[in-house]
Amino acid sequence: MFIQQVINGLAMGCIYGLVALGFVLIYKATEIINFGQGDLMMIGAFLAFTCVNFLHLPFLLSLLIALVLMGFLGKIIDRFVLRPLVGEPAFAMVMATIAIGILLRSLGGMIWGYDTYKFSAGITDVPVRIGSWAVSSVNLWIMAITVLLIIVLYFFFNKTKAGVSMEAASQNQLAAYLMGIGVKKVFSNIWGISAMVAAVAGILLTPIQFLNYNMGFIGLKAFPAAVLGGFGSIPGAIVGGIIIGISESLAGIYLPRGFKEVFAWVILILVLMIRPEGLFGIHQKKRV
Amino acid sequence: MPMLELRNIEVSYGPVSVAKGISFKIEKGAMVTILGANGAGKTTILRTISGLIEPEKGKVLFEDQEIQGLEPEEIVKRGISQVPEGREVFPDLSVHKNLMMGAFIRRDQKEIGKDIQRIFGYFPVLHQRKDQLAYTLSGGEQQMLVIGRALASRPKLLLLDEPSLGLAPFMVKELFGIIKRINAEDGTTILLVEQNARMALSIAQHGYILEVGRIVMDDTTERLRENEDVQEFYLGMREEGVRGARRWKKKKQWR
Repeated sequence: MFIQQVINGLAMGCIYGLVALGFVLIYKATEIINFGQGDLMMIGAFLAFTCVNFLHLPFLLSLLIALVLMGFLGKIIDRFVLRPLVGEPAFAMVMATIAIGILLRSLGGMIWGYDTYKFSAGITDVPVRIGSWAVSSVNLWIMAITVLLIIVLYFFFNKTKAGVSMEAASQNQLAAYLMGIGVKKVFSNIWGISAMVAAVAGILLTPIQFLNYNMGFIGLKAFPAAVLGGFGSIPGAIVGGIIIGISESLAGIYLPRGFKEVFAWVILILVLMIRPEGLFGIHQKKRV
Repeated sequence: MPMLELRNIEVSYGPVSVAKGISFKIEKGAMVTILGANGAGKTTILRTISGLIEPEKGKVLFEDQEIQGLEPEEIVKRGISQVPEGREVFPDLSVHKNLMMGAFIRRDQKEIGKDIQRIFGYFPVLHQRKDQLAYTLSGGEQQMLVIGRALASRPKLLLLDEPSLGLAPFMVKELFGIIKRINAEDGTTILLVEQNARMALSIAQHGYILEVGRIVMDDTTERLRENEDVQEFYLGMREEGVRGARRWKKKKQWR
């Protein structure tokens, strides 16, 4: 029972972690907190769902289409909503991203209706035996794909010129300008990547939760995950997500009813009180 | 034809006018210095040249083409590289990656490798520390790193903004020695903005003196060093009067 719950929590935590990763990527580069991340996740999942169920495309092709479209959506949001706001106070940006979230949610409702759908994302749920425990194959898929995605992102941000230049631009914008790195292009690409990560999270979520225009609210729980990891740290986002996922799942069985829903927020408040810089807090940036 | 020419550049930040019609020239292969106190507008001039600021009036000509108002990336591609004030490294990238980012606009992988070796030749300490993250370096090493990084784009014109700021005296001496070599050995044209007037006047060939947004003197550094006002106000030499007291009421001649 305990192990079961830990594994369920781990899988859910991976999804929180992926949504948190989307927050962190955008925050690191642009210092904007994107409150629409959860709704991007919903749109991504619905796009894949539409391709599979209405257009009858094979799952992998649908995934690819959803990712490409989401990449564009991210870039469009950056170009038409956030770039015009450059230089405005931070709260203007925050309001804008909240507005994007609400807008996407309503759009989702208008296009796909307000019903809940079942979409198993090409993953069939079969119990897998590992030693003496039975584990749901869905959970294994979620973990495997999360690990794969992190490896891909790690490789991209550390080994490719485009990725390193994005990393550089997030670390020091002035210096990036002076190196000839197109900072606007970097922001646009970051939004694209972040929206794609959100889509992956959304698609992975569908086998364990129903598809609904409201599913973006999961994104709010990714927020404590990002804070716990130390806003601005990529491994921190994933670790934070996993901790939130597991503790939430355990709270669900060992604590009275209702604790499961609020546990992430309890952790958020504790982190802010005890260690506000998070687990992977950022060091002193510059010597003077 | 000068390599870089500024014609009547005017810049203001809101209502505050910082550059009030600045004109000067730099010949190819030269090392020119701009001296001035805090707030004289030195950094503003460099930022205008490298495209971070758009001037309200005036022209910046580089190799006979107007470059004012272009995006910074376009200006880097044309061969101007700025070392900003205050050691703006990429803190969480390794020294080697910082240098690679300096070569971001270039495509010739082989030549980049050679240039990085050449940069390690100038700054051997960077070679020793090439896998360390930049924020772990000392101040002097970070300054070497940003200069090396600027060289990695293989610039025709290198703009240096206060490279000696906050460095230990022996480090300043070493750094200026290397700057001199970069100018002499590679033939890179250098525009050096400094508060350390003594050092700057000893390595540059030509100097401009900037006071509150205007160029007030323009001469070879040899003659600037001889100038009474420069000696008193920039080199801090005292002239003893007949009564052995400093002439507190002395006015600068250019006022």
